[in-house]
Amino acid sequence: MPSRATGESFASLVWTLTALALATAPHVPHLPAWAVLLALAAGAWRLLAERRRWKFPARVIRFPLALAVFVMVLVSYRTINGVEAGSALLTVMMAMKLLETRTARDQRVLLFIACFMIMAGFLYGQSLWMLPYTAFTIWITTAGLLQAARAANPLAARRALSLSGRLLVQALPVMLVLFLLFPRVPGPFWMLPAEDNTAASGLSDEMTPGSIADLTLSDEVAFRVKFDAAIPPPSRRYWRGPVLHEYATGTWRVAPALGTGAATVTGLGTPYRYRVTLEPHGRRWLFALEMPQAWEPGAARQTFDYQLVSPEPVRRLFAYDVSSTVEYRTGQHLDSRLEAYELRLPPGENPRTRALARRLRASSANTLDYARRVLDHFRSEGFAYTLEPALLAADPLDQFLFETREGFCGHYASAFTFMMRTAGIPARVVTGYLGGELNPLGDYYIVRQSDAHAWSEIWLAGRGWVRIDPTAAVAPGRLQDSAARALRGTAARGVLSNNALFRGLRQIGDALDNEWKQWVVGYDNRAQNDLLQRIGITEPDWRKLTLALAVLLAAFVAGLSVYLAREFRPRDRDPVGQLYARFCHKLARRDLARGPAEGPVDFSRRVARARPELADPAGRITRLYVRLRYESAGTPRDVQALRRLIAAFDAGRHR
Amino acid sequence: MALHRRRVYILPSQLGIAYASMLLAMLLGSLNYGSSLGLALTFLLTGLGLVAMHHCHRNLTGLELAAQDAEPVFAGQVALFPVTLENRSAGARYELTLEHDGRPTSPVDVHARGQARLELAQPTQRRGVLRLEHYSLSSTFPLGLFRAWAWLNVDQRGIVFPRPARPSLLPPPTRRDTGGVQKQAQGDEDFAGLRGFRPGDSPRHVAWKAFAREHELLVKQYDGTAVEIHWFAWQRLPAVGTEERLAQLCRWILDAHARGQAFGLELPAARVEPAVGRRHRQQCLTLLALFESTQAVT
Repeated sequence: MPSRATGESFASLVWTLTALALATAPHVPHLPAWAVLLALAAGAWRLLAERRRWKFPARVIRFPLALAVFVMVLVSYRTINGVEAGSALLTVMMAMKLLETRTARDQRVLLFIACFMIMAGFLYGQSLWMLPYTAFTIWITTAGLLQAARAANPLAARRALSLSGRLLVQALPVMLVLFLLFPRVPGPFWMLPAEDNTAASGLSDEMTPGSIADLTLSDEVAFRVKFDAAIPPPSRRYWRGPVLHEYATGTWRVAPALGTGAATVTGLGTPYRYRVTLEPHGRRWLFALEMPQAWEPGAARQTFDYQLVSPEPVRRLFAYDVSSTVEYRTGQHLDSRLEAYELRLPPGENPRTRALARRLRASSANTLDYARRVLDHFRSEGFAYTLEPALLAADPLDQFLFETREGFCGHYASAFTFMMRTAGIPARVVTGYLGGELNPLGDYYIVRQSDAHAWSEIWLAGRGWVRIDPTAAVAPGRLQDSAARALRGTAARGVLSNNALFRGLRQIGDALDNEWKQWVVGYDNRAQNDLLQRIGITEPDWRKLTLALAVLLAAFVAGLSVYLAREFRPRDRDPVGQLYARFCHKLARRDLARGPAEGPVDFSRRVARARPELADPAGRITRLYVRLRYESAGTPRDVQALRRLIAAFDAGRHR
Repeated sequence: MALHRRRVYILPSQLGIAYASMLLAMLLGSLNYGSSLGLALTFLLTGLGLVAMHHCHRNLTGLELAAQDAEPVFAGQVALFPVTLENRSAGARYELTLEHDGRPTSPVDVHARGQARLELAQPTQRRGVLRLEHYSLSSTFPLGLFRAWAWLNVDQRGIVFPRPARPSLLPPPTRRDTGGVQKQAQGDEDFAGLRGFRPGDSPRHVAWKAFAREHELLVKQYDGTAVEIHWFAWQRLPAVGTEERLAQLCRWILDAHARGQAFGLELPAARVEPAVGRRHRQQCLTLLALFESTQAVT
C-alpha cells in the first residue's frame, strides 16, 4: 500500500533538492537531455507531492521504471563503465530515489548521492574556478544534512547555514592534514575505460593537412614548463611530440613499434633542466625540448624515434623532470629496416610533386643542397602561410604545391618530407609545439594548443637526423612568436589577445591556476615525498605517514575538545560577586574569614575593628559593592573601579 | 544534576555507518581516478564526521536536569513526568530527547542560557505510585551520524488514582444541622464552611482568599444554609473486591466534587472529615491510590 507524503518535511526537502541541483549542475553538459529532464521532473514532482500530500508510486510502478531508465543509460552509452555513463546512471538513480523519498533517512541518502555527484564532477575538471561553486555546494549539502535530521522542525535558514559553515570550517584542518599526509596509493585498482574520449585533446596520432590549423584555434594549455636556470631562445624551443612515419593520401600517421632498438643522441652544450607539467590528454606521449638527454626513469622512456612516452595514458596532471640540449648529434647508424621504412611512399600519388622533387634533386650538389633548394622553392614561388588554407582533394600535395600555394605548418612539413622521401632521403614528420609564452608572475612558460607545430626531420649521412622546419622558409616570424601572432590580422581574436590588460589578467589567472594545479590537483605521491623531505622527514614510508597523521589528528581532536569545552563552559554572569569573593578570599588568608551569615557591612565593621589600618580601603570596597549589588546594577566603569580597588587591596603580611 | 562528560556515551548511528561506507567508497574512487579534489572532498567529509562527533558529545555535556514529580492521573491515563533541561552555557543545545522504555519524547532545542521542559509520557495500568528511576537523554545532533546519550538515575514519582467506576448515584447525604436552634432565616453571620461554586451563587459569597490559594471557586456557607454531607465509607460498600470498592469510592469523590458537595471518606485505616475543595479531593484520592500499599508518596 503506497503511503502519502506527510507535508511536514517541505522545508528540509527544499534544502535537499537545492543541494542535489547544485551537485548535478556541473554534469548537465555531459548528460543526455532526457536524463536531465527526468531528474528535473522527479524533483518537481517530489516537491508538489509534499505540498499536496500525494501518494507515493507503488513498487510495481517504481521498479519497472528504474529498470527502464537503467536500460536507457545502457543504450545511450553502451556501457555503464566510464565517467559519463557513470554520472548519467547516478543522475537517473537519484531521480528514482526521489520518487520514494519518504523519511528523513531517505533524504540523507539523497544527500549522500549529492556528495558522490560532487566527487564525480571533479572527473570532468578540477579547475580552480570551480572551487567557490563546489565549496558552496558542499555547504548547502551539509546544511541539508542538518535540516534532514530535524525534518519536521527545521532551523531557520541563517542558523542552518551558520551552523553547517562552522562544522565545515572546523573540519578544514582534518582535510588539510589528511590531504597532505594520507599515503597516496598509485591507482588504478580497477580497469578504467581504455581510451576516454573526454580526456583526449591536443595533438593526435595522425596529421591531415588541416588538423594542426584546427588545433591552433584553441587557447587551452597543453603544458607548462619551469626552467631551472637558463632558458633557450624561442626559435630553439621545439617541443617534440608524436613522430609520424606513414604517409597515405595526404595523411601522416605514427608507426607501430618498429623494434629497431634504442635511440642514441649526444648532447652538445650545456643542458637545460626543466620540469614539464602536462595537462591530461589521454595519450601516452610526453613533450620535451629537442633533444631530451635525461629524464626521470619511472616517469618516461624513450622510443626509437626520440619521443618520450609515459607508461600509462596521461589521465591526470602529470609533472616530470627532463634535461635537454638544443644542439645535438644523433647516432650515426641508420638501421636498414628503419631506413626502408622512412623512405616508403605509396606509389603513384602526387605525380607532379614527384617530378618537381626529381628535377630539384638532379640539379643539387648533395642531399643538404637539395633540402635547401626545396625550401628556396617554398620561399620564392609565392607560397603563403595561413590558418585557413583551401581544402585539398585528390593528390593533395600536387594541389598544394602547384595550385593553392597556401598552407599551414602541416602542409609544408608534409610536402617537404614527401619530397625528401621521393629523392631517396629518409625523412619523417615531427609534431609538437614551438615556443611558449612566459608568465612573469610564476616565472614559467605556458605552451598552449595554439603553439602546435609540425616540422620535418631528415637523415643526412655523417650527421644523423637533422631537423628542418619548412614553415620557417615561408613565415620566419613563426619561430619567434605563436602562430596566431605570426599571422597578424588573419584571426579575429587577435584583437583581444593582443590587448595588454587582457594578457595581464590572463597571466594572473594562469599563474593562480598553475599554483593550484601544482599544489592541489597535481599533488601525488611524488609531490608528497618532495614536501615531506623538505620538512625533514627522510625516506617517508606509510608507517611514518601514519604516525604523523595519528599525531596531528590527535592534536586536532584535543584542540577541538578544548575549544568546544570553552564555548560550552557555564559563564558566571556575576562579575561583581566574583570580585567581592576575591576580596573576601584575600582577608580570609589573613585570618579574617567572612562568616556564613555575615552581611558585607557587618563584615567590614569587624575588619575595621580587628585591623584598623584596613578600615578605610575595606570600607570603600564594601560601600561600592553594596551599591552595585543592592542599589543599582552600576555601569561597567563602576565594576572596573571595584576591580581596581580589590586588585590594589593589600591585607598585609601574615602575622 | 549536571551531566559530566564521562557520563555521556557516544556511538555512530546506522546512518553514521552508512556515511563511513560512503567515505570509503569515495576514497577508493578518488585514488583510482587519481582525483586530488575527490580526495580533498573525501577528507573534508571525514573531518566533518569527526567534528560532528565532538559536537554531538558536547551537545549533552554540562546540561543540567531537574526532574519533577508527575501530576496525579487515573489508572489507564498517561502520566507525564516533567523534566526541565537547563543550559547554562553560551552555546545552544539541539534536538534533545528523553527516552524511557523505547518511548522517546519529541526533540527540543535549548537556547544558550535557556531552559526547556520535556514531559516523559508513561502509560499507567494500576493505581499506586508510579516511579521513574532510569531513562536516557540522547541526541543525534548535528548530522545524525552519531548518537550521544546519558543514563539518568532519578527518582520521579507520580500518583495514580484508581480508575473510577461507572457513574452511579451518590449514597444519600446526611444533613448536617446548624446547631441547636434550627434555621433563623439565612443569616450571613455565622460561617459554617465552604462548598463548590454553582452558577447563580452570589459573588459576595465567593471565598476569594481560598480562590487565591487553591484556584477554585468556593462559596462560603453560613449557618442556616442547609449543608449536604456525604459520607463515603468502605465498610458500607458491598463486599466485592478491593479494587472495585476503591473504584466506586473514587467515582463518588469525583461526582461529589464536581457538584460542589461536601464529603467525608472513611477507610478501614483512615478517616477524612467532610470538606470541599480540590485539596480535599486530592487528599482523598491519594488515600485511595495508596490503599493497602507500602509505598510512600514522596
